[in-house]
Amino acid sequence: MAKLVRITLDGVVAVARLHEESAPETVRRFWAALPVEATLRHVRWSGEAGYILISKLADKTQPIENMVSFYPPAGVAFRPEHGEMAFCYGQAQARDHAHPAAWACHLGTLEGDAGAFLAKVKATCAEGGKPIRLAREEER
Amino acid sequence: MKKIEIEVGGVVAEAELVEDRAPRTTASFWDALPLTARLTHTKWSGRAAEFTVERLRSVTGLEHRVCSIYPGTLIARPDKGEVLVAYGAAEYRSVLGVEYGTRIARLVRNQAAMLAVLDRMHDEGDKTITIRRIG
Repeated sequence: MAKLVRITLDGVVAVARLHEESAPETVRRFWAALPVEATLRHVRWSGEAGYILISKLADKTQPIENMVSFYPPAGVAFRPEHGEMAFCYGQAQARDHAHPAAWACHLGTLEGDAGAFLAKVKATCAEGGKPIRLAREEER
Repeated sequence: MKKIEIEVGGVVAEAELVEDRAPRTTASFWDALPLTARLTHTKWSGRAAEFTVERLRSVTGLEHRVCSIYPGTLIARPDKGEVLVAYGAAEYRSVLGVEYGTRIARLVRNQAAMLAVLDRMHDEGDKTITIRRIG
């Protein structure tokens, strides 16, 4: 049964399927931490994506599962060392001020037509931070 | 030394152009003044904001090349017609990776207040920047 997460960003809803087979420990920890409420802001180093910080999931010792450097569009990426979760709407990569290229866990992928949600993510660059809520959708 | 006045979000600061190190780029920038432009947060370069100055595209090549952009520093990429101003840790980068830009100016008055208003763009979004000649 796949784990699905319902993501509500400034009134717009999307659903992400978690990649439990390829990132079992990261998914387990994230699933246990739900629901999460935060402010989504645009990334400053990583390109076309928005991000939240989930401080209770920050762990520099956690291995990065299902490793990617470039974020796939409509992908949900997680960097355990920062507790940073990114939602990608275009070209993006795991980066920060100390690392022109880093690694992240490809934690999940948005399902269906996520265009309206990704447009909201993109809008955070021009409009600033927006409220976001992540909650368990269901297991199926 | 040529000086300019920069206004963002009601905050006014003063900067000096680095004419001796970047004579062609600063001259083109000076000729573009006064200007009012949309100021957006960078997506790849860290704690910095950027705006467009189309006139700079006539400048060929880089002068006084830098990668790191120190807080309160303005750098230009003439080929892209863009200028960045940093408020914290920043480095000129694009989707391709680390690149160079031309350092053209540095804030010399009311720097702290200007850096604070630029920092708030991460939460508040785009602002308008106005730059005028002094003297």
